[in-house]
This record gives sequence, C-alpha cells and structure tokens, in this order.
Amino acid sequence: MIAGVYKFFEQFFSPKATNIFPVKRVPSSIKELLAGGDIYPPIAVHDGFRGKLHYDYITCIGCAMCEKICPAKAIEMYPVVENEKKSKRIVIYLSRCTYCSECVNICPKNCLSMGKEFMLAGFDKYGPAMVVGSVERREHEVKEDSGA
Amino acid sequence: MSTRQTYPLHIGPTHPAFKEPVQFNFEIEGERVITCDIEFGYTHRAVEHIARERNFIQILYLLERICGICSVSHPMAYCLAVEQAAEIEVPPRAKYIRTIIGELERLHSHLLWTGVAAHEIGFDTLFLYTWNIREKVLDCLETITGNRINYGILTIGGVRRDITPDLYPVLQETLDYYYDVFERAREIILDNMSIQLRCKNVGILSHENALAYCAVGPTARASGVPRDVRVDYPVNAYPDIEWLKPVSPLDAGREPRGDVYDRMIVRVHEIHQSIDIINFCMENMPEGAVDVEPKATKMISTLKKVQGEGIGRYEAPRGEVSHYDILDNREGPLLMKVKAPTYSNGITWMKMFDNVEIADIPIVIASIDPCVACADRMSFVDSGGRRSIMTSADLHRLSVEKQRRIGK
Ligand code: SF4
Ligand code: SF4
Repeated sequence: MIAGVYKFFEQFFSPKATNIFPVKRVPSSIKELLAGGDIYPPIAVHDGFRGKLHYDYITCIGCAMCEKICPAKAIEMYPVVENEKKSKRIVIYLSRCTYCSECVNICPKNCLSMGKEFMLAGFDKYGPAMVVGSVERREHEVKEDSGA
Repeated sequence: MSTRQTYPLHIGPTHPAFKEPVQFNFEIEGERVITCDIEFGYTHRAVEHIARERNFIQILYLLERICGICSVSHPMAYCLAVEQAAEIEVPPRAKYIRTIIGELERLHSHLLWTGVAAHEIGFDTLFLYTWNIREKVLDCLETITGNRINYGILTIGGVRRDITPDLYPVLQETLDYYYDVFERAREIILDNMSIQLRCKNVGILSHENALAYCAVGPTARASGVPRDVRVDYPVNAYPDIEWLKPVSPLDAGREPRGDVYDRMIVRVHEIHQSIDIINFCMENMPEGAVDVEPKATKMISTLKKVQGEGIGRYEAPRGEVSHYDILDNREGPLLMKVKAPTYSNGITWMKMFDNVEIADIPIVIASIDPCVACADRMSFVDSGGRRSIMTSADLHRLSVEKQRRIGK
C-alpha cells in the first residue's frame, strides 16, 4: 500500500515520456511534428541500431547475393547497363524488410548499411520514401530486351 | 440431472478480452462455469510449411516471428536442433551471450504478462506501471542487438553480435535498475489487496492435473511440479549455474495450490532469477569467438552436406519449446516440427475453468500466458457448409502419407 502511494508520487513528479493523443491534425510526416517541438521526442538510438537501409548504387556489382539471402524477399533486381555491360542493380522495399541486416553482412562490396532512421511509416509503400534505390532505378533501368 | 439447467456461453473467436483468436464454449449455471470446450484453428499460419521453401538462415527470421514475445526462444530451439544434427559445437562465449539474451527476454516477457494480467482484472494502474519498468529492458535489448523486438541475433553455430566491453555498462545499468525496483515492484504486484482478492483460489490447476495434462513452464511450476528445461536439460550457460533451481510458490512461503496467484508469484520470482542469471553470465563471461562461421553462405553449404536429425529444447518464458528438424542434403531442413508451450498449456484450461465465475474468465485465460498463434494446429475443415473435425486417426493417416511423399 505504502509502496503504491510512494510510486504514485514518484511518477507524478518524474518527467513525461508519453505524448497526449490525438494530435490536432494528421501530419503528413511525423518528422514535421517533431520539428515543431510540441511533442516529446523518442529516445536516441545507439550505434549498431538496425534502421533504414542505405544503398550505394555506385559500388554495387549486381551479384544478387543479397537478393538470395533476404528472408523477407524484400529485394528486387532490375537490369541496367553499366560500363557498357549488362548488369543488375537492386531496390529494397522497406515495407517488406524485417531489418535483419543479413543483406548487409553478405554483401561482398559493403554497399549496404543500416542507418539510425526508424520513423518510416508512410501512406505510399511504393513511393520513394519506402523503396530504397528507387531514384536510381528511374534513372538507370533499361528494358530487358532493348539491351546494350 | 434434469433439474439442473445450464446454458451455453460462447466467447470468441475475437473478443475484447483476448489478444488472439480462440473460441471458448462454456456451459454455465448461473454465474459459474460447469464445462469448457476450446476450439483452436482460427489463426493457423502454416509456419512449418513456409519454412520448407526457405534456407537455414532465412528460417531464423521466420521463426522469430512465430511469437513476438518469445522471439529468441524459437530460433534458439531451432539452432540447438540443427547444431545437434550437424554436430556443430558452439563457442562458450556465444553460449553465454545466448543465455543473456534469453534471460533479458524472459524478464521483459514476465513484466509484460504481469501488466496484461493486471489489465484483465481491471487494474490498469499496475498495467502501466509494469509496462513502464519494462521499457528499460527493451532499451537494453535494442542497444545490444540492434532491434527492440525480434532481435535477429542468433545464428546457427553462435550469435551474430558480440557483447563488446563498451556494452557492459549498459547491461550493468539495466541490472542495477531492476535490482533496485524489484523489491518495490514485488510488493506492488503481490501484496496488493485487489490482486489477492481476484487471483487467490481462482483457476486452480491441481498438481495431479498439471502432471496429467503435461503443463509446462510457470503454469506447471505454480502447481508444484518442479519442471524447468533450464535445470532438467540444461543448454547454453545453464549447466554452469549450480544454484539454478525451478522457482516454486514455496519461495514466497506459500504452499503451491496452482491458482492464478501462484502463477503470478512464480513469474515475479522468475524476474529476480533472470536478473541473477544475467549477473552470473556477465561475471563469468568467457573470452573467444562468438560464432563458428560468420558467413551465411558458407554455413548453408556446410549444412547442405549433412544428413541427420536433431531436437532442440529450450525454456521459453511460457514453458518448454521444442523443435525437431530433419536435415537431408537440402538448403533448408527437409522437415521441421515446432512445439510451442501453449500447445501443452492450452489443454489445462479445461480443468482450470471448473467452477470459475464468468467475471474471472479473462484472468484465467491470461494466467497461462497464452500464445494462441504459436500453438494453432488443427483446423476445422469447412466444406460446402459442413463442418468436420479431423480426428487423431485422420491426422496420423495424413502424416504417414506426407512422410511417404517427401521421403521419395
Ligand atoms: S535487412 Fe533483412 S529483410 Fe531487410 S532487405 Fe536486408 S536481408 Fe532483406
Ligand atoms: S550483395 Fe551487394 S553488390 Fe551484390 S547485388 Fe546486393 S548490394 Fe549489390
């Protein structure tokens, strides 16, 4: 009983960690809301956190190791022409990704890495925010049969 | 019996009191439950079938998702099974790290359960309190493994990440925090009058019934069955821990009766046991490698050469989970069989519901810490409006046919 009352007062005067819900309007992005400063931010993440994947189009050699290992089948290959040779590059659908980082470990060229970004919810799962490498894809993808 | 009038009461498959779909058919007389029947099969996900199309490494992440809370227990049992089949010896440091992660998981699972149980009896202050202190262990897990839930840290032959010396202070701080809050949390949870009034002498599972219905985990221990895989079939670092013994309500000075309150005592005391185990592991952590083969592709090709079978048993927070795998020169196991703790504990509901009041149904259901999706097996086959139930003979026939088919 005493412990309960004591705990109540302790909680009452300790800093707030949760936010009042609902916020007044649905923001297009949670980051806007954070930038406005009217909600308590999430705690900082540490090194080694498995967040949003980053992909380096330049160093990738299109070996497809990551596509084969991915347990969620979140990686898709598309054809490109690089250095006048037919090759392949990848896009990663974050809506399917399980953030296991197997692809990061297996990549022979270390062109994948995991960042610290985790607020990735969005309305368009095929939009540029949710598909890593989609910008490069639009730029470089070639039709399979048109070739070199 | 004709003077006695009973009524059927159906609860489920979806109901605000349940976290997962399962159907209960009660016969009630007044406010009291006379008989209880359970229908599973509403959330079967065919994990074993999906696993057949994936390789050894990919399966780890599938198995993590059998149960969101025991997300290290299923891969652990699977790794133990495959390692047994392929005769892989896990380095000692990896064993200790596995133990630490497993116990951190038990810690957060039991805190979560305490909150859920409090919520089921309408005690939401306690629910928020336990979930608040649970945040600390989740943050610790996130720092160590990189993810908050579904840690993705186990791999066949070891672990994927080392607990480096700069992570020791994080772990130590978490342990200190829990040593600090434990006494008060224990008092708030167990000495509370509302909890005692609602949980004592409710949902009793006698010692005989616990044995007869093969209860596992805290459910069995609360009924006075000293059964704990960590003690009976120790793996990982558990063989080194000499003082480890199954928790019993006797530790709190109460004769085991098998009611909801006993299950609460067992879980709360296991929180303390887990902190002690992690402390032990940190003090005695061996040096050395954390895995036998860091490259996933090499590991798969090693396992592809293996023919054999293995069984892995591990004490998940809810009870024993066991995996059985057959390896047969494939990139993945030829066959895998998963047995989750609720598969055993779910049956004990039938006995627990003897003479329970309707208002106590949610807490009795929650008291075994059910994970229905893990345990879902047999389905009602609904063809053309007719319902048919597969009997054990039917299932046996199907099983034999399948074995013939894949054995070819
Ligand atoms: S992190 Fe895992 S799930 Fe996500 S793309 Fe890489 S391998 Fe696939
Ligand atoms: S493994 Fe690395 S180099 Fe190979 S395709 Fe994937 S990202 Fe490119």
